[in-house]
Amino acid sequence: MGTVGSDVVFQVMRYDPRRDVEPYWAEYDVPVDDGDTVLMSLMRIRESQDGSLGFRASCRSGICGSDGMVINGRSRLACKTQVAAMVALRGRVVLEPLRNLRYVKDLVVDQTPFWKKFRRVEPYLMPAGAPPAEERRMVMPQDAFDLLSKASDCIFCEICYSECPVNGIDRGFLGPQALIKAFRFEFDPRDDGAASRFAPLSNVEGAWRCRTTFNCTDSCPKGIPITEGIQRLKKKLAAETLAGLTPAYRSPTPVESPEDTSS
Amino acid sequence: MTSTGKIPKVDQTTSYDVLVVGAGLAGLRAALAVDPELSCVVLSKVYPVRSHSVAAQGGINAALDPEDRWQDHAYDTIKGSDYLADQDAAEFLCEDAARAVYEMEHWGTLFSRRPDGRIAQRSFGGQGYPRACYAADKTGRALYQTLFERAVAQRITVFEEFFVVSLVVAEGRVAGVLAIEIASGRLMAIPARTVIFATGGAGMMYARTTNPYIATGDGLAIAYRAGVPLKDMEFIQFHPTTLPGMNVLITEGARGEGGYLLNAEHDRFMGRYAPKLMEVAPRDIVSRAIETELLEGRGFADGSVHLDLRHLGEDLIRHRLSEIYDFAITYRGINPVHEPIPVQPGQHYIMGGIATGLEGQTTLPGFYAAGECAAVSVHGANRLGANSLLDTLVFGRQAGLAATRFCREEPQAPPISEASWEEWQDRLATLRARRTPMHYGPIRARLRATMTDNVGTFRDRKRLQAARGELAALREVYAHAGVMDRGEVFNYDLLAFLETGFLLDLAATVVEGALVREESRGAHWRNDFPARHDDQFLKHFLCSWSADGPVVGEAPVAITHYAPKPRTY
Repeated sequence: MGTVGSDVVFQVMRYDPRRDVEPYWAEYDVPVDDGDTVLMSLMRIRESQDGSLGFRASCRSGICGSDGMVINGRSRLACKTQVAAMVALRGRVVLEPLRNLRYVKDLVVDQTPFWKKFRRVEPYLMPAGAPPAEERRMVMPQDAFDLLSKASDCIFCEICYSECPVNGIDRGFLGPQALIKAFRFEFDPRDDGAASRFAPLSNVEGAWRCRTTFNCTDSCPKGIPITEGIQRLKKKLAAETLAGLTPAYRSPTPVESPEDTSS
Repeated sequence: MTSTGKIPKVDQTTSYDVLVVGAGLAGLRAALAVDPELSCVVLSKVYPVRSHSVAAQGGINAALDPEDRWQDHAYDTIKGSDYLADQDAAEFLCEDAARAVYEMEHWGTLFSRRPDGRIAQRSFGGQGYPRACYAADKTGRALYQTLFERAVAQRITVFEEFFVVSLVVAEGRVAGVLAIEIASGRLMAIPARTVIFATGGAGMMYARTTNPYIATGDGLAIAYRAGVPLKDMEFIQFHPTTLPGMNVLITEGARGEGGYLLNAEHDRFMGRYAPKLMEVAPRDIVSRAIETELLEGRGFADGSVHLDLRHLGEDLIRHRLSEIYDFAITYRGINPVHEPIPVQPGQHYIMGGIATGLEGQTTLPGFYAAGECAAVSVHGANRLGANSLLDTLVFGRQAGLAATRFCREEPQAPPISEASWEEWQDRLATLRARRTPMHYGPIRARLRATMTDNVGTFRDRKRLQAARGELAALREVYAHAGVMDRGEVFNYDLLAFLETGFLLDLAATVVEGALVREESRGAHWRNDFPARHDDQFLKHFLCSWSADGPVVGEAPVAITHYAPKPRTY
């Protein structure tokens, strides 16, 4: 590698909708120190070379999910990706916006469809009955708790959405993130929302569309076994279908649902 | 919500009853407390889930256990604050804590559990009882996700990626805000009867900080410029354990679970600084202890001491400290199961903030603040770990309830004048057009360096005066600086320029507060005045904006039941 202390070439997709007809590549030589992440280098470019470079960032440490982008061909968090590792891979760092979402400026994408799909699975606890007057004793086997806890590690970074091949060919597909979120509530023993979530989860744009390529699981920066969660969700939906809850195969609900005013 | 269609520059037709700025825990909790009959909107400069509340690790304090008492929690909080907390506020916080925690539990938060199913609690710095409820070492994310999901369920409207530049005041009360819609670059006037700021901290004024890029003190500086005083700004918390380099936070929970701090001589040095509480002494004490070890040559070459977790065992580390396990591996290539983690203090929190009362109210009618940007004050001179999450939930709710009452009692807000919009529109246009080689980047770098070097853990008059001089010089440079990006869409260059101005204003209040406080109290340590002086300084300092720099005033500290005593651990 031998990159530490020397300059690394960052090749970045640039695009400003008010100025550029189409995207183009820009190159920056960035001094890199031992242990620098891609995000630190991007910040260095913005503060000392080119202030106009557009990218989102906040926490710097892989917990806020702002800085998902395609780095050397794969969707990754810039703040969890070491420059040296990328240079070892390709000799330089190549940055593009996330896939399956419309790019707006440079590395910034329009997240609207992602959030609409998240909302469609009614991602909140629907408790059975009124809240208890005192502390609820949620006695749950440790492994079941760990499963839900792991699923709720999601940081909404959209990397799974970007890496999912089904999202790439079917704009209506809920995508891995919305499904793992649904899983987190569907398998919570305190939740009673199955009937309400059944329709969005079981129609043709829901869980059944997942083709188990494991791209989401492989790319998730929090290590969530998303694919496994989706398959458990399918099993539950199948059981609910057989129990006669609702017909499984229904026409999809439109992406632009009129009640969706709070995105 | 990204707005659609053409919105007039001053749109008086969509006036909100309650406008919340900031979508972290305090902001969302405030919005959820607003009467649903009223119109409420939350503005955030990032998507809500990017707020830094999600980064909180260790826990949220509440006296849940039958053996524990909220009064003891209040005492620990007040002692931890080095007696600068307003005691009525600290008592309110601690008495309301159990309710706040159970509410989150009922809304769905996956707290870690004891074997019998009750919420697990761990030891935390400066607490006389293990009362920090937690969700592994990702308590902030667990709480935040629940609150965010609640906001989705309640159809709370969020204007995502709106950058507030100014608070509009008319007829002596708040009238709304001016904000840039980041996606389009448009300046918009948003009228509101009440405004609640929940905009978080300002760690970006320091080089070594656990804070995110977005923590640029926007709300504090905007309130300050609008004439609302800032309280106790000299009190900056340095977290004892951050990873050298990026200064990623390593939770206090790691010490709460039994981790040791060791210097290069393999000495558990905390025994010399806090013989009773050792590693779980309050943060100000542990940070100073580490800095002292480093200054006296007992640290490691990279300016660190070691946090040793190895004796805790792999199972505990991977289950209850999973996030920092991941951090140590990702950012340092260190597996804490087998190796100690190098740590050093880093800026973490500002105890000071917009001066508020128990209901989040400020000196400006209709304007409220909650969370890190506010100083009620419950944290005084030093915040205890696991009290800030609690602060956001308790006082966020208070602000939402108070804003609701204000809307019921007061008439409609005065309109926002075209002139106030035009003033900012002109300012932004001038800025975009300015041709200058001076970018904000070097100004920020110098600001971070001077604050870290001169206004850190150990302070003295000479260094503070040097910082004051440097800040004045930087303000001069800033007045003639400009931006590189002249575009409109997602112009982060312009936002960072404005943020730099906020940080410069705030840094000046930190330095002025630190200069006038000629004593050592909590996180504010003066080498030239190494003792606490209650006779002179048991009071808050309030900084008010003026064209010539901060004007320092005073306010009394509320004392209820706890007479100030020497603070030993």
